[in-house]
Amino acid sequence: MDDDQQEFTELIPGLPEELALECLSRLHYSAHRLSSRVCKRWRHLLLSNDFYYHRKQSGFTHKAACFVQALPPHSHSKPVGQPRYGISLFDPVTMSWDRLPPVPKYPDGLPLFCQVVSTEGKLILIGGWDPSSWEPVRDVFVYEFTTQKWTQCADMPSTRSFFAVGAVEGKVIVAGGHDESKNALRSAWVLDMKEEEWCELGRMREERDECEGWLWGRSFGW
Amino acid sequence: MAPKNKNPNGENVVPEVQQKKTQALILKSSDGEEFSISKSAAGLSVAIKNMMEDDCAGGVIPLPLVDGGTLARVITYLNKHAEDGASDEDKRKFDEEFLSGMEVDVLCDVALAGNYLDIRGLFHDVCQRIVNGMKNKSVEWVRKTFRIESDFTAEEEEQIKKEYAWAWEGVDSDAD
Repeated sequence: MDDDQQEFTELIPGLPEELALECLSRLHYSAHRLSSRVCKRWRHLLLSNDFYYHRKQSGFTHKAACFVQALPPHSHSKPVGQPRYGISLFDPVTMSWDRLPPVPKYPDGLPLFCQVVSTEGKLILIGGWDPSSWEPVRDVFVYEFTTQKWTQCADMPSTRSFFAVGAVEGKVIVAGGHDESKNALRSAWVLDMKEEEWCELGRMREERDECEGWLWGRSFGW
Repeated sequence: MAPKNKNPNGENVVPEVQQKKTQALILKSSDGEEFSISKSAAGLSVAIKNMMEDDCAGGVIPLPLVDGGTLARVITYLNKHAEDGASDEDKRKFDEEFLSGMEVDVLCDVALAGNYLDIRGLFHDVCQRIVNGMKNKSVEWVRKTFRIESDFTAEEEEQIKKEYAWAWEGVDSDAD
């Protein structure tokens, strides 16, 4: 924590700093957004990456399950056209289902066949096809569970469809798939989410289309 | 808060379940109140256990950082958790009721005592309880309850509000 940040205000009046931190670490993530509006110190703490890692280390983060699901039709009339997709969330701590807010750029449903991965308590949505034009997109969106907000991150350097993804420690890897002319790709890129920067990785020996990615410890395979 | 029982001499005593355990010691609060507690219950506090092992003279352990009201609560907790035949389910129920009536100030005192006396389960539960109270409450409620003053400027408040304007806010009324 920055010492110059409000050193005269206590995190929780009446509690020493470390005990206040113990308390706030136990705050359910869904309450972070509201709590970050209480005062500058809370905001600074709750929105920091360090705080996420502190919670994770102390065992106060938890797993939640996210599913890409077809959304119910707008009206009661018969569904027409292709289904719209959104993300459903199951929280095993509160045993509750929720739906994530739509990505602002795609209010009527996620890009089709977009890839979804997760790292550092964030959900990352990559690529896919524009749901109205079916054009492949290079968009990358990041959902922060604590602020319950989507932000747009650096676009993929090129379009690719049906590629493999993996994510670990704030980095997202995409590999293979095919380009706009349906050429299978050998290339692979890694996105550093903090720097919002894509770097090309060594090429794969062969092209891989419609491949799946997996992570083994800190190494990525496809 | 559990009632404090007094014996004919006006000393605080713990419920009879504990009395049959012959070995007892006295805990003395910062404001001089003395509480009798069985060694088995007191031993659930790692700090007191260490003090017992270091052999405190006369079986009286002074706890200069815990006031009488807080110590009485802590002892109620320890007694329940040391009770023979209390199932985990009993204890869980007790913990919930034990903490549910406490105001934030009292919870903070119990958290401090739980930390000082090194009673892990109590400390964890109290910390959790302190923040659980914030669930579905408004920003104003949190500020009032924790006596935190907003240090955002009016413009910053407006800006932050705007950031989240699109989101549904499932907030209880401030009445509670």
